[in-house]
Amino acid sequence: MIPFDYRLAASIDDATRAASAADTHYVAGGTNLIDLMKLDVETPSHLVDINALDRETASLAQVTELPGGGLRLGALARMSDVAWNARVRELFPVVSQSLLLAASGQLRNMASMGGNILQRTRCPYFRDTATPCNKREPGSGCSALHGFNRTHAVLGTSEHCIATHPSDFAVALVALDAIVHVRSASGGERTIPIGEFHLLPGAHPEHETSLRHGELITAIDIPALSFGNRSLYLKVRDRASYAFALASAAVALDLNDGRIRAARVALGGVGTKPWRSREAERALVGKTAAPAAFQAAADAALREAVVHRYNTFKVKLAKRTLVRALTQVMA
Amino acid sequence: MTNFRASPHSSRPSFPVAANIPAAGELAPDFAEIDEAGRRVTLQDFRGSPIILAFSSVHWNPAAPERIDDYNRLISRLRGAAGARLLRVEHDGAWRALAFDDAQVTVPVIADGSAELARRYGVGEGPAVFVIDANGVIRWRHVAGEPLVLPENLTLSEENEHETPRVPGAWTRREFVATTLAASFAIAFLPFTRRTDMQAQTLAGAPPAPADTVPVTLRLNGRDVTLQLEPRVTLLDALREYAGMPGTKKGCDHGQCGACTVHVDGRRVLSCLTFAVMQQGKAITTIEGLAGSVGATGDGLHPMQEAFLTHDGFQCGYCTPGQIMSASAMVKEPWGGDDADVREAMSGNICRCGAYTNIVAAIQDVRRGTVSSTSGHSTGAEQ
Amino acid sequence: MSNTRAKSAPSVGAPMNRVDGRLKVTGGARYTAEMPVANVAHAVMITSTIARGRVATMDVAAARSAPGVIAVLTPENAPKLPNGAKPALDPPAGRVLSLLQDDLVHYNGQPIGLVVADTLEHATAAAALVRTTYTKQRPELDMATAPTAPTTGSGKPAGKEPVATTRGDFDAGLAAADVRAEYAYTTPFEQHNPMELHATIAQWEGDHLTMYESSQGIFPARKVVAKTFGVPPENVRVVCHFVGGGFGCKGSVWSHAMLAVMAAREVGRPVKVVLTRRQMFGPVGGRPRTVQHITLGAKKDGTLTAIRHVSTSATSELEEWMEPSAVATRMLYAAPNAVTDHHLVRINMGTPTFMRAPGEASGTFAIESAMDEMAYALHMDPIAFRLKNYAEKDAQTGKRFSSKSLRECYSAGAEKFGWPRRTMEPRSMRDGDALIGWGMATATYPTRRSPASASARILPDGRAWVRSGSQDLGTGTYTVMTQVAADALGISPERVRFELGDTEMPETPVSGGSQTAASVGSAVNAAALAARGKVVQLAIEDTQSPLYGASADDVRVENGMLRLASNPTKAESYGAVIARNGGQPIDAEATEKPGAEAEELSMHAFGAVFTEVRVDHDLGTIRVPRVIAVYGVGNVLNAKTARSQLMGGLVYGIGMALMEETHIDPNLGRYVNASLEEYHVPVNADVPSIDVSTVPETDTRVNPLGVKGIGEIGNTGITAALANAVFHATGKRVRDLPITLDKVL
Repeated sequence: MIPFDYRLAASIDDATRAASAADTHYVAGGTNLIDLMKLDVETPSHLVDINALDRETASLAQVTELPGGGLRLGALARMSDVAWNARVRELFPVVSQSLLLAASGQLRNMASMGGNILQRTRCPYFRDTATPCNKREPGSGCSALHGFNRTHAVLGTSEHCIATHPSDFAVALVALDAIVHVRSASGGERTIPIGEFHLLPGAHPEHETSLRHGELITAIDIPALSFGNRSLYLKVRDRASYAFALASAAVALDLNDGRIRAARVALGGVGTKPWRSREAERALVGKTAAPAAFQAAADAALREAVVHRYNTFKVKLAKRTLVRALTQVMA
Repeated sequence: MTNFRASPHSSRPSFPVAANIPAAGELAPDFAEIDEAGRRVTLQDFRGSPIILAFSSVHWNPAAPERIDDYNRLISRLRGAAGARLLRVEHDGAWRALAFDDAQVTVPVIADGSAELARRYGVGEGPAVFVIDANGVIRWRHVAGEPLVLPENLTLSEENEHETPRVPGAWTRREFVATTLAASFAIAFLPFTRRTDMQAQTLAGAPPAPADTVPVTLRLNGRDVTLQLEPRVTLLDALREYAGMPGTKKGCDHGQCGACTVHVDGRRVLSCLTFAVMQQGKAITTIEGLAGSVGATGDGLHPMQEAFLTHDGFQCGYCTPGQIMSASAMVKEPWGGDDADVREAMSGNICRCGAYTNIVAAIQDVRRGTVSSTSGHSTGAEQ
Repeated sequence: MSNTRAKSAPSVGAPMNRVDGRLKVTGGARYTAEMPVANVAHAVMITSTIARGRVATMDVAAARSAPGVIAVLTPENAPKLPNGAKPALDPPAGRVLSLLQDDLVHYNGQPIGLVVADTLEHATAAAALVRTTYTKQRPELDMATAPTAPTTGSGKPAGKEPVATTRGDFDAGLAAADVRAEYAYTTPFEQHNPMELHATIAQWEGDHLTMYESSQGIFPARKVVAKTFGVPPENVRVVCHFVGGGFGCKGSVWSHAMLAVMAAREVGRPVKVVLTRRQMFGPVGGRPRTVQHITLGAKKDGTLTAIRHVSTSATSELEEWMEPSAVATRMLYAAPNAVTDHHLVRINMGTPTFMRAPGEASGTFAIESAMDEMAYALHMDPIAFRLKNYAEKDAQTGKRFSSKSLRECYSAGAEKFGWPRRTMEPRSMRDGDALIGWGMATATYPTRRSPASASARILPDGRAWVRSGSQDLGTGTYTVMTQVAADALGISPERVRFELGDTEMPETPVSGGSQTAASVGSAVNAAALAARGKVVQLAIEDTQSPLYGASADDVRVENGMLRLASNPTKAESYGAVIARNGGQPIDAEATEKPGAEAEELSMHAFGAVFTEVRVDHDLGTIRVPRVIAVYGVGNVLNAKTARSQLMGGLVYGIGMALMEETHIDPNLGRYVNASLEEYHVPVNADVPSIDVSTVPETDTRVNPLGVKGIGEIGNTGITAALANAVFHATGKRVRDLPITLDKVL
């Protein structure tokens, strides 16, 4: 790890000012950034510690109610706090489940909401500086394309990158049309719909989000959703716990007398970004909530899938995961 | 309390403050302790003889012989004692058997029940050795955690060793072994004390501080410890490599195994994925401090430590501190009561020996034993 | 005579808590990297980023001038060793290491340099500054196309087992069969991944070396280190009080350890090196991939007429290390005609090594899967089929077994598990979305023993110190030796202190091959009995003793009291005898060696493993709700630690069966999943309720304690039992481990 300057920010203004300098990273939970710094994948010269900002602005670390029924998740709230939060569990079980099925008890006590949606891919080539990787070192090539790509994405890939987005929580967020609040050094605030927050790799896999340099995530809003309580996160992985998804599904259904009035579907473990499937939603809306519709939705969701040597199974697995999630959310 | 006669080159108080470990050249702090045979023992009792005052943990530790060897090298360099070899210092019972290659001597044990003596000498869980000359001046010391620099030809008396040994402070080798040591090798055995009592003082600033370091003050097991660290030093490395507290383990260094689990403000976290500099002002509890005072069993163990011991919740023991720290925090989290809940909650702690079934049994024992307390098992250090 | 056990044995067998348990639960146990060595410098290895070729240039200027850096060792400037690049001893006793003696690169991740600095941070950062260029060659990474390697070198199976065997007439046997089947099984590359990273601290004082080494064999380590650096073995002291898991990879001294020793001498101060988790993939061994072909022939009634088991395993460019997968098959079933053989191919990977039950773990997966397949082909219950071919004596050598309780294990396990309720048809047992499968397999591991020594000292107060080099890898050596010594001395275990882990103690063998309890236990028992005998002798020759004039055979010792069996009122304590006879401790040493039993008998432990799996019929996820295993392992020294160790072997097997595999990039030869995130080992939620038990088994011939090793047998059979259960659940026969969900989708 290269040496860096460390600064504990006392206020949001202090933080954003400091972070406007080149080569500067915010650090909150540290669980992804420090990991990557040890691997020399991240090499900031300056670290701005934002963990004390809740002393100035308490809501940064809290879950608060939004007028109209949604919830605001402070960017510094920890995964475990949000996961166990009674209102979150009541209004959006999919969010709580996506958090509890991720990482471990210790990591969930550390990792923040903002950091979670910014976490970087677990592609082993990205994490190993001894191998080429377009995301880490633009233009160096993609080792995964013809390498060991069992865990890689089948949706949203490009010829430059097939790295899977690792977050479970973000998958739930894209299903729920969450809004990301950010602050810049100038004090300006803006909001980014979660669906526009993460970028497809395309020709520039090094660009992962629409966040601008120095911008600080302050909160994630989950807008009210009348059927948010009928939501579910299902995660399939290689061992029973403490593993990233091979496939996952975040679903919410609005049912009326056995028919699907509205649906939210997002997939994880298979996309280069948290994957909202409006194709699947369209296939569900208006249909009877039954296996045929679920299967049609799954087929629609994976229609554009592109597979590589070791991850062909993911198409079948993702479909079945989605069908199972839809089946279970009915129960 | 009786002091040794004043040393001309020392005007320091005879009872140094607890925070200081008396250094070579200083007057040895006096003590008056009751040995396990019920006798009052003071430094005065040893007037005229050099003393080797050795501190050792009450608890068996197979690594203790390491220090025995170091101390042997010391003895071999003591003038007049060449060739003597300390084979063993036995640690339990009222008397200590010191085995040399040609003799066996027994010495009374000073039971430092209140740890007052240890505090006076600034010693934590030990081991530590002080060599005190016939004038009551410390001539050499070694405390665990500080560099061991053995003295060359340490002479504890002005007398010539070939003269008659009846002159106080001089001895032949055999006298040294059989008489002087027998009378003066007092071994104080410490009760369960916190290592940080010592580490805080011995290690802060021990290595020369490189230019790119900053002072980092950590509240470790209820005690402030200031270390001179680069910002890139993780909390885990700060504990293991700088604070002399290697109870917290490094298994992967990337948040993938749980061996480095500690409590920060009462919550379980991974010390490998945070920088020490980020944890200033937080209450950090490590395995060394878990037992604390509240909730500890008679043997000085936290209930979770006791349960792991009883249920054989480990084999090699390397993941164990992390398992126990994780478990002792997990019981305060809102998990359900089933074994399956424990398994899921503890899945961030890998045990390659495969002790999981026993770990679950241990945790369930603790949970069932304390169902009335929703706050779980708080430790003194975390309050 | 001197090694007969004390009559009353109240301690051995008892489920005593570990004597080192307190240290382990309080963080007080000091592992290698934690030993307090003053002025220690930190070293970090530089490793190759190609799989095959030569180091062309290493630009170390930036590293050398980086803060805190003391030295950078590379092939260019590293001191030449007396043996050069040759191993100190023939492999696998010594290993072909990467000690910077040449510029050759044999695998991706091979040590090619070492940076020494004042702090870990400085060493780590400086190592990343070294820029290396290579002359690349195309690596061999595919076993199917890789060149073969001889099986005559280091790859010989353990003990006296030959590479190939033949009995009877295999072709005739196969021709006589009613049912024939040929199957190919593969087991993957695996990494041991003990939780404690490999670590070494090397400290030279003149030409004397103290080496703190995370080691399964401190005496073998001393030998190879001394030879490598050209100093006499007595100048080298190896210390290791605690091993944070080994499973085989700590049975050798690997490159990093030698480099630490080299660096410590170069920089003139102690040097500590701790591997990173990534560096645990390649430089310190692993289980090689195997491809195993099994052919079985059987009569309709289930009688096996022919067995052929031919295994090919991968080795490195450096050594010919062979996974002896077909060895267990030789003695296991009573087929009259059998052929076994082993082949090797060379690929650009780190040299493989012993990994928990080397040979048996991978081999029993194949043979016990094949037995299940044949049972299905014959429409026979898998247990009935095994019993039909039960080997009453060693099927290969014809020797008697020293003891064998496999029949009892099958029977007890089947009953506990409820095996008779199993419906044989695949996919015939369901529960909602889950397909239920029940599978079983035979477990087996040889019983070995090596020469070992111990010393015992009875103190004037009747307590005892007992010492024996050896190691405790979590196996319970500290605890069970305390118990053995206590019983031999006739005192309670609380009055015994057993010490190990230092080459200044009596010599012992490597803790491998499940031989520590048998080897060290026999020596400890003998040394303690010898010390006791000395006190007894003092007493019966002492006119002041109530035992004066008695025969030594008449003296019993219980609770520290010497007492005449013929007249129990005549008694006195150890302390009383010693006090009247000079008051000095009584010392004795003993060395115990295996006798002719290994020549005369076939010595193995056996067991039966039963598993239940739940396979999600859509998602393919496999969960293991229960495992029941029953073993015949001779005398059990400590019921608690033995259960734990057997259970640990089963958990290791769950990992091997369902998730573990080291992936090597097909182009770069890079270890792709070199982390505990991606190399999946079982977590708590993967591990079910495990029921481990032993059947009573008295074996008076294997060794004086009647013990069979238990460290490895737990890792045998279990993989096949799970594969067989998956077949029963799904109808899919997965012959390639690990059985990940994509293989049953």
